[in-house]
Parts: sequence; C-alpha cells; structure tokens
Amino acid sequence: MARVQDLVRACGMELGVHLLQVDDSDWSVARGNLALDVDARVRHHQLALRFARAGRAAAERHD
Amino acid sequence: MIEHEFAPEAMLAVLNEHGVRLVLVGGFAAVIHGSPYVTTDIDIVPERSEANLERLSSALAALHARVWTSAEPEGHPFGHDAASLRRVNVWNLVTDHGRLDITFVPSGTSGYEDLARDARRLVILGVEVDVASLSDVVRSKEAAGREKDRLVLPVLRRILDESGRRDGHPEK
Repeated sequence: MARVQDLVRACGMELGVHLLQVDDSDWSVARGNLALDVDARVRHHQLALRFARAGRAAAERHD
Repeated sequence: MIEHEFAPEAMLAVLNEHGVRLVLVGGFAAVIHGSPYVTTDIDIVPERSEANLERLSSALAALHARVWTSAEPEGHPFGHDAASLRRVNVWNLVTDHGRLDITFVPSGTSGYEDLARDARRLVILGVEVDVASLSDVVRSKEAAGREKDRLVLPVLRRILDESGRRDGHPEK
C-alpha cells in the first residue's frame, strides 16, 4: 500500500484511504428492479422521467 | 413479486389529501433542479409535530405503506402512530405507488424547518409539493458522504454555480 501511495504521489496526486458506512439503498432499488421484467423496469423509469420532466417544468415556471 | 406502479404524483397526492406537511428531498429534488440521475424512489422530510405525525400515519395507512427490507421487497406490514413514527429517524417503505423513504433529520440539516425555509412550492402533475432547494440538497449529500452522493455531487455543484451565474445570485 505504501508503495502504491508513493507511486501515486510521484504523479503529483494523493491516494486517500477512508472508511465509508455501508449503504445498500441503491442496491435495494436494484434488487427490486431485478424482480421485474424488462418492460416493467422501463415503464418505472418512464414514469419517473414523466414526473421529473413535470417537476423541472414547474421549477422553470417558478423562476 | 407484486409490481407496484411507480406514481410519485399519486403518492404525494395522498400525503397532501391528509394534510401532511413535508419537503421533498433526495434524488428527486435533485432531478427537479436539473440532476441527470433519475431515481425511482421518493424521499421526504415531514414536519415532526404531533398533529403532522398523526396525519402522516393516516396517509401511510391509506398508501398501504409497509417496511421495506431486502429480505422482504414487497414490504412487511407494520402498525404505526405518531409516537412510533417519531421514534425512528429513517423509514424505508414500499407503498401502493412505489418506494417512499422518510427521514426526519437528513444529514447536514436540522430537519423540516431547516429545509422548508428555502424550499420552493411547485405544482407537479397537478400536485402541490415543497421541493428542497438545490443548495440544501447539496448540503445534505455532502454531509451524508455516501459513495453514491459523492458521485452525483460534482454535477449538482456545477448546476448550483450555473444557476447562480444565470440569476446573478447563488442558487437557492
């Protein structure tokens, strides 16, 4: 590890190492998606996009 | 698995019908401000008064909300009232209209009042909703520090900068 850090530093960069809390929230959504067929996955995203587009349009009207 | 059609506007409409005071946060708030990363769950921060939590409990019953776990993606039924909802900071739920995540005090914020101050009230597909400001979304994601937040933060900060330049003041 120290060798890798030295090499990275020689390239003018720093290699940071840190701990992160486990976050499986995206995996939870992905797992739900895996249980759907492809048509259903696409439909979910179409519905999400429909709401997102309407939200953006509302935000632009608000500006 | 039962497929619940994702209908954020229907979910928010039920919450509104029950008079729940809340701010929309998280990925969808970011999307409304221009983030290219569309999510398929809704994150809300409800106000924590006793009366509002009672209204939230009624709305959750109407939505047939169940506790989501990876072991039970269809959700586990749970009894709830104002007191039990208050005891837990984060609820990951599945409803008739899709995934709903409730957080009372998101990272980097002090909760509803903190976020409501700069929220925008928008009407989206006929449903009125208070959407957290982009600067508050960024603040919360910076504090959360999750890997997925770190990935989306560069583009959110850029949107914030661009919006500030366009309007001549920092984006709210």
